[in-house]
Order: sequence, then C-alpha cells, then structure tokens
Amino acid sequence: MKRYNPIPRIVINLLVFFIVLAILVPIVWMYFGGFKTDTILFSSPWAMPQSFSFRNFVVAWNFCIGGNILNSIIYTVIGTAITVLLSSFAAFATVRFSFCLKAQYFVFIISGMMVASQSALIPIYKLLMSIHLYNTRIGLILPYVAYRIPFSFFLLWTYFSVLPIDVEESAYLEGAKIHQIFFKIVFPMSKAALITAIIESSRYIWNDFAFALVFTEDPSLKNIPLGLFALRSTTHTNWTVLLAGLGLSAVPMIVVYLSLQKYFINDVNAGSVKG
Amino acid sequence: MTTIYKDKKILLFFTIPAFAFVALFIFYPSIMNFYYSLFRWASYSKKMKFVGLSNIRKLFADAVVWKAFANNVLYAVYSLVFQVCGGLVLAHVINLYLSERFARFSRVILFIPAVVSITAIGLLWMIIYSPSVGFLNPLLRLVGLGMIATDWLGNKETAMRAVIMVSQWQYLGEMVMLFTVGLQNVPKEIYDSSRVDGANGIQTFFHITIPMIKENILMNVTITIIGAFMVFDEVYVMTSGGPGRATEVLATLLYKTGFRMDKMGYASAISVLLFVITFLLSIIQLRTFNVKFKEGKEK
Repeated sequence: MKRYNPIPRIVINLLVFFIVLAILVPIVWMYFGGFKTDTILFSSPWAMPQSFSFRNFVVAWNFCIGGNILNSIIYTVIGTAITVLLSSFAAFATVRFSFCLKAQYFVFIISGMMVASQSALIPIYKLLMSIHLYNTRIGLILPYVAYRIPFSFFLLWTYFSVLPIDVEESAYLEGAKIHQIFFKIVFPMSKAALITAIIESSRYIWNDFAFALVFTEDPSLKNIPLGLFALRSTTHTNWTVLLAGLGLSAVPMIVVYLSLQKYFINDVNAGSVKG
Repeated sequence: MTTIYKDKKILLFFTIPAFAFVALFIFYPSIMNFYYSLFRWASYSKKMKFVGLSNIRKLFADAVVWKAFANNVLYAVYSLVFQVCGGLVLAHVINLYLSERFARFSRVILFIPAVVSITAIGLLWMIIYSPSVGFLNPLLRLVGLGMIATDWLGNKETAMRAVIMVSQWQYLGEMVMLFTVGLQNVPKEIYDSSRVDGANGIQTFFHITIPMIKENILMNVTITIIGAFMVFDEVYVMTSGGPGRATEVLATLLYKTGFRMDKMGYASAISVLLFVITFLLSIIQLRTFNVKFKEGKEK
C-alpha cells in the first residue's frame, strides 16, 4: 500500500475521523446529558455535568424503563426463539426433503419479506380483535414472529443448502432419529447462521415501536420504546431525565453489539468465503 | 437426493408452522386490506357500509396523500444520496486508505447508532434540534453558520429534511457494513495492479469498486428505497407528521387516519397504496437477488 500518494491518505483519514466523530458526539452528549441538571443544560449545551449523580437515571428507570424492560425481554426472547426454531425447521425441510410444490413453498415464505409491516397494521389489528388476542402479550408476539420468519428462513436456507449430508447419513445408519440428527448434529453445525438469525430477529423485536403501539393498550404491556415515548410526553421540560432514559434504553443493545462485534465483523468476513 | 428424509409426519411438522404464520399474518392481512378498503367503517362498531372504490378514488384526489407520498419520495432521494452514495464512497476509502486498525475501529463506531432503537434516536435528535437545549444551533453559530440556525423540527421549511437527516446519521454505518461485505470479495491485488498501471483514486473507484460489487449496490439501492416508503417510527416520534402536514409520510398518515380519526376504510385504502408501492419495489429487489443467485451458481 506504500505506493499511494500520502497527501490524499492524510486528508481521507482526517475526513473519516470527522465522520466517526459526528456519529459519536450525539451519543456521548446524550450520556453526559443524563448526568446534568436541567438548569445546566439550559445554560449551555456544552456545559459539563457538575457531579456524576445517577438521579436522572433512577427517575427514568422508575418512570418507564423499569416497568417496561421485562416486557421487552419477554417479547424479544420468546419471539426470537419461536422465529428461529420455526424458520430452521422450514428451511431444513426445504433443503433436505423432497415434496410437491417445494419451489412454490420457498417463494411463498420468501415473499413475506416483500410486505411492509406498516401496511398490515389495520387487518392484523382486526384479526387480533376477532381472535380475542388484541392487547395481550401473545397477540403481539404472533405478528413479530410472522414478520421475522421470512428473513431467518432465507438466511438458514442458504446455510443448510451447502451443508454436507454425510454426517447426517452416518448418524442415521447408526440408528439416530431424525429429531436427534436435527438438534444434535445440524444445529451445532449451523451455529454461525443461527447466531446471525438470532441477532437480526432480536434487534427488530427489541426496537419495535409500531406493532406495540397499535396492538397493545395497557400500560402494563408497553415495551421500552413505548415507555420512552410516554416519558417524552410527561417530561415536557425535564430534558435531562429524558436523556437519561434514552441513554439507559440504549445500553443493552450497545453492550451486546460491542461484545459480539468480533463475531459480527468476522461474520462479515465469513460471507466472503465462497467455495 | 438421499432417502433418509422421507417421513411425512416430520415433513408436515417442519413446514406447516412457518407457513401458517406467514399466511395468517402477512398474506391474509394484505388481501384483507383490499377488502376493508371497500367499506366505510370504524373500529368500535360492527357496521361496515359498502362504498366500493370510493375510498380509492378519494385517495387519488387527496392533497394530503400526495404530500405524504412526496415526502416518502424525498426520503428515498436523500437516502440514496447520503446513505447509498455516501456509504459506498466511505466503505471504499475505509477499505483502501485506512490502516487495518483504524478501519476496523471506524466500522465498529459507525454502526453503533444502527443498533439503538429508532425511537430513542428520534427522541435524542428531537432534543439536539431543540432551539432551547439542543447543541446543533450553538454549534452552527460556533462555525459561523448562525444564519441558518432555526427551530429545525418546528419550522415547516426544514422539518422534513431534519427528520430525514436523522435517518442518514443512524444508517450510514449499516450501509458501510453492507458495502464492506461486498468489498471483501474484491481481491486487494486488483487494486494494487491498477495502481501500477497508473490509475488514480477516482478511476479506481469508478472502474473497479463499482463494477465489482454491482449486484451489492443494486441490492442496497432497492433496500433503501423500500425502507424510505416504510418509514414510520422516526417521523411519528419526532413530529407526528407536523408541523401542519409538513412531515406526513404514508405510514403516519394511515396510522392517524385509522387509529386516531377512526376512518378505518380510508386508512385501509392508504394501506393498499403503501402495500402496492413496497411490493412492486420488492419484486425488483427479488430480481436482483436472482441475478446474484445465478452468478453464485456459475462460480
């Protein structure tokens, strides 16, 4: 790489540095803001917090996040588990079994990716009303699962379709049952794809706003994004509490991402390893 | 094809649940949208008055719908310029001009906003844009751009673009990541040999990067356009479509029409419009997929 002219390199490095800074500054400002008092925030947006007290974070936690975090966890964990399990079943069957209309089945599931979930708000609302699942946890989880299946299915299908079959066959000859083969052999072999599917699905469900807004009514069923939105309407002028709440809500995702980014980036690299 | 997998019971057990979910919550609702748009109805009454295509007709004559549609188009245009073009150039230069360490670091940082919920990001920027406590206006004054400082989200002229810029900020890193995936497949030697042949940086970008990851670019263009028509959270959280109708997009309009004004039939007609637009765009995307698919097979 030494052949490159150094001047553009320095300029480009500086440019990238400034873009990285522009991404980072609002996030850092948000966390500092959580420690400030409103008077300080109003005096100057650049003022430093006088003390690092967690008062605002406690208020934000008590008001919305504490009550909603459990819901968010329930929706995300159960929704993702069902999504990945059902997608892997369907993807595996599409790869390994032969059945009539297989191509049509494949296209049908994949086409689910083509529908904007917002365009289905009204009919799903009506459907949930009619089966008496409107404003219930399960009623919210069902559409989550449905809208995450197509992508997970596609991802796992791509992975399963290049999986060598010999290991499964020899296990079968040794008397293993199909379900044992699936959970004891195929699953462990597909860890990378499963992790990607889990991350993608969790990210969507954890951050969802629209479905939760429309399909639930009770404050006790709210997830974190809805809680933040409520916090905004009640803390009209209490900006620092809102900033603390936003910062708090972002912590789990940022921590999970930063601790998994090694795999994530490796995953990006893994995508380039083609046979 | 092997014969160890032929148990019909297991096959049904594996294929039916996923099918049922997709059929019941994705395809059935899409069909029902068309049906519901033929009636005048409200969510809390059993009465549904058949009005035929009058909702759809009203839609095309409704200035607010066109305003929302135009805002979605604006969203798409800005996203193509900033996220796709910007992300592509950025992924390219990070790949070629940065040290391995700084490249890795900047990709990791750039992606952070994409993992935070749109709701939180939207509310954060609502505060940053605020004329009383936000830091954007003071920052502009600091660098001598004080004359453009304004109440970004409260000003009809700037509100839509202010909301759009938040999305650009949030998803730039994700785009860079997606392009990086494509660029990993381009051997570094190609770049090196083009240097030897005397190509400059700009030529390298246009003659190597773009042709080498054409499918990848096409894919991201369609994803971005579709995403621009699906926008809901950030607009609803920051402005709820206001001031006036300045930031109305199709999804916020259908939500407000249906769940606030309880004009469910008309809202269903807007849903149909949104569905048709995104579905058509997605078909184009699937075509792109197919191109990739075939190419992959040939290799």
